[in-house]
Amino acid sequence: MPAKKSVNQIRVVVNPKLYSLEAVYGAAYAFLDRAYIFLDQNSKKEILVTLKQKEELSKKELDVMAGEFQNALLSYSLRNEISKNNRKIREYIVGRALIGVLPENEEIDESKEEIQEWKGDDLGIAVPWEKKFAKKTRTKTSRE
Amino acid sequence: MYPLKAIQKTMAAYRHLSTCVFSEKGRYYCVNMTRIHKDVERVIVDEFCNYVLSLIKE
Repeated sequence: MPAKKSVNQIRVVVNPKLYSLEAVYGAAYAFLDRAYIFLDQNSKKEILVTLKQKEELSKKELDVMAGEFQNALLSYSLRNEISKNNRKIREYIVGRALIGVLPENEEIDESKEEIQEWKGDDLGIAVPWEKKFAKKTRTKTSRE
Repeated sequence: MYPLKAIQKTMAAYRHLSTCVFSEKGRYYCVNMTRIHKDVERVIVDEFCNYVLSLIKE
């Protein structure tokens, strides 16, 4: 990517076929604290990113900033690409996590299933403590 | 390059620093600033552009 220098600013020309506008926004956002950033587009549809220094910088330091911006562009492009590829998996994971927070009806259904299991339990092992002792208490009262 | 909504939100945020008038000229949106606060007149244009960019990302 070519970079053109002026007195206190430097321009980076971005090929839109290689870098999306999203990547440009992401990289620009990362540099907001270090420089004033201006975006434009030329007749070839190339994105023109002008980085204007906030503090006094030497020409070399301006060059370094432009280089770092180009690296940031690459980083955000990769991040966007990974995000696109992982989108379905992320939606699935979030969906599963939300399903875990179910309303009360789901619990009633489970208890119905449990009761079915108890009915098949001849030795009475699966019967809850409360149910088992509740029956015995009623028996004692009736004898008295 | 700059979404209209972000520009409008920035104009609203900067109304205490200057009077902003919006217009369109060809492919560009123009924001004309008048009655700029003395403390910020050197940097307001640059800061305005950065603010718009920050809103795009958000």
